[in-house]
Amino acid sequence: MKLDVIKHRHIYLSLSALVIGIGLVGMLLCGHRFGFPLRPSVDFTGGTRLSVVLVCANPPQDCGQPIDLEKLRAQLASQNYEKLTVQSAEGGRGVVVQTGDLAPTERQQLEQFLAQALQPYGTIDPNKTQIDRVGPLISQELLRGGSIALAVALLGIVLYLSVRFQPDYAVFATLALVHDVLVVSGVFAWLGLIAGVEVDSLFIVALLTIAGYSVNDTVIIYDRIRENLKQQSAPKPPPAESVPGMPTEPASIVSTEPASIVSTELVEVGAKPSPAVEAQAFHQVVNFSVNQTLTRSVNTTLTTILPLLAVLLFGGATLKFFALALLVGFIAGTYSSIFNATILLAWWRTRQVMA
Amino acid sequence: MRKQLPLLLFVFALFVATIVFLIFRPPRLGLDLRGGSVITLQAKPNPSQGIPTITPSILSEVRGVVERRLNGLGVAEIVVQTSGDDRIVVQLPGVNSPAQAEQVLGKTAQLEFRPQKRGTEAEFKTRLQERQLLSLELSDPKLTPEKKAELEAKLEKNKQAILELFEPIGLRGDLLVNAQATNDGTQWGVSLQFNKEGGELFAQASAQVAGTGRSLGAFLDGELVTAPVVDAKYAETGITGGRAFISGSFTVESATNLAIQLRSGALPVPLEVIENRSVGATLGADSIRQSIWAGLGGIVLVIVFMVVYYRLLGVIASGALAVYAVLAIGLFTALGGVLTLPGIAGFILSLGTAVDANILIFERMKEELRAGKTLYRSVEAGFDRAWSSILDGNLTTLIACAALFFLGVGLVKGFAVTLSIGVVLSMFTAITLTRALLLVVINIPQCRQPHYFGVERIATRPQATT
Repeated sequence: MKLDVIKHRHIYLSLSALVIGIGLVGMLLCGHRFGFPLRPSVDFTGGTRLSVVLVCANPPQDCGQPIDLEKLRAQLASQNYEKLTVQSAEGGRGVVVQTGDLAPTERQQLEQFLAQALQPYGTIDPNKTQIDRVGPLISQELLRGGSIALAVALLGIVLYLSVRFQPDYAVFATLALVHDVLVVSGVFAWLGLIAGVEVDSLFIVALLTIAGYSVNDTVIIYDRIRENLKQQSAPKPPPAESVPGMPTEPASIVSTEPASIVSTELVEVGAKPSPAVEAQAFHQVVNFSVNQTLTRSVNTTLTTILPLLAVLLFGGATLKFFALALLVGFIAGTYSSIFNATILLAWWRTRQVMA
Repeated sequence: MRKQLPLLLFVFALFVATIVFLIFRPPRLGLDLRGGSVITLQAKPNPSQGIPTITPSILSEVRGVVERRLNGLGVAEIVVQTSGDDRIVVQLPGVNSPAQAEQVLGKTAQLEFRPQKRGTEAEFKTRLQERQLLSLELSDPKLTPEKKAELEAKLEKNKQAILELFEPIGLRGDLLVNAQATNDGTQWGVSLQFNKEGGELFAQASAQVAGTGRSLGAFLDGELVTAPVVDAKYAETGITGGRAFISGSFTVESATNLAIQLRSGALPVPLEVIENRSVGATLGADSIRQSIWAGLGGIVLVIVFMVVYYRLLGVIASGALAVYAVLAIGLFTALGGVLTLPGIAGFILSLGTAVDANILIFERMKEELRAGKTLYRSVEAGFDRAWSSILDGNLTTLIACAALFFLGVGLVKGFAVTLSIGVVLSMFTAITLTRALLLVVINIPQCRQPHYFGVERIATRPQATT
């Protein structure tokens, strides 16, 4: 497989723009509906979430009739709870009730009411009850703390990259990172609208992890671009010469044609090549570097995704969407590193040379 | 080979020692995995009692009262910690419903006895009727929130009015030596035992109202619990002996709760539950089982991929990964970490990132091999030249973890800790262990087959170029 990222740059960038655009629409819709770009959980809005499961009558198959959700909704609606939502869980034998902030006594009333309302279907298993009550103070803290952590992490990463690379490398690596965060947010905005998936503190953790990890792939490719540029400008013949003879590898195909042509040209033209040639040369180096590192970019992402797939398949409900967020983020991260980050860098350097 | 042997032996010994350590001291599990409640309470300033701000000494006093009250519940291994300027975090393992704990903590339990003032009999009667009516209206479940708030405000006003009908004489709960839930034969109540000073005050108060038809009011947090009249025979000396019995509409449970509250002392300031996360024991056990499957599934998938794609190199990386997994759990446990669900997620994620460094090195190695370098030089070059990429990638992840750890709140810290441990440790295993294993393996002639490394051929003599 050989990628010519520069030649097809419009396709790659448009695809990203399209995905982000759809995501932004989703976030706008969420903002309209929930007053928040994503569907927030009680972690961020404050409130009480009570999830109960009925005792299974004859495990494991015959647990009894499922709960009539509409009926329960109507019963609960008569109780005047603020921001009430009722969702089914555990294959219809459990419910998750969410309300505004409830004081302990109010929550106990709700528990009693639920126990009574669910009587026809069975008794509530106290060992499977989960209570999450987040007061307004805590929810504000979680939101603020999460946002600050995200901002500080981004800033820290930009600073680190600026020190380690040139500033323009850092800027594009950061853009790629923002791309990944936006893609994940967009996907979860739509999941929130369609499937009622809520974002909690773990989602912010996922975004932070994606931010930290997204730079990984970008750094690997930029590292290689930097290395190849160095070797190219050095008087010695470029490393491309040592690569031929490996027909199965992506690197070889590139290196036998354009990379070597560029290098010979460069050597012939000498220290001062024309801007157009220099731009062309930079494009070739970028393409060459991307293909050289393609296997490791894909493989490192694959090995990271495999455990996440296991969590998605076997993990509990809490971790499923966390794993999904990371999964989407890492895939977006690899994509943006291979395509967006390199295309933008090439565009920028070319522009500078031409100017 | 000889150079690598001490390192390999050291790592192997460490590996075995860690396994033994983990068998004797398995990682401690968080309440989200064991089942239980984590309740965060906020201490509210109490200007009427002369406490306008929460100071550290007040908070530690509050902590003491909270601890005593919870110990009265008979739950094992309760942890009560202060957090921030005005927070108390309570961990109750194995509690399915935190309701009782919340009830016990919900009141400051400021008990006070007050004799009724003269000439207030008529007003007292109407206020009591008003209170009954308001309580009845409030119990209607179909109330709108506005109406409810209005009624609550009225009730609060009524409470204040009743309190003012009684005369404060300083007979408070801090003069108690004991409180017990008791059944006096007809009803549940709390029997009290005062100390000497309290006994005298109680005698004085009861003498004041004895035979007058006025009552001796028992107030809890300013709210009238019971207002018995005292028989005329006590007019001379009052009720002596320092014993009293509060009755009212108590159940066994509420009488027990009140007795606990009174015994543990009054809270200097009111507490409010601002966060409560409770997980049933079965749910926690389910989470552990699912996490173990997810972790094992993850490690197997990674190993299969690595071995299929990188052959012998993959086998080496898998060995290093297994060592890494054990050491990571061991290090986390040794550092006193408590494993939570997000922590497990961080750990499982780190399984994938741990082999990343290996992949970078192997890919670089294969490149060098194809360029015609010998095995030994390829290994060295692979490690040297992949190092900067590995460092950059891992440092950015660590930056994110640091932000999460220092700025994040609550459970997410666990994730930051396990992921950071994973990142640092995986750099160590990738750089030292994989390298040592590789150097050993390439010295075994049978292992020097090109297809073991996924390349066409391996140069046997160093090339002149590099």
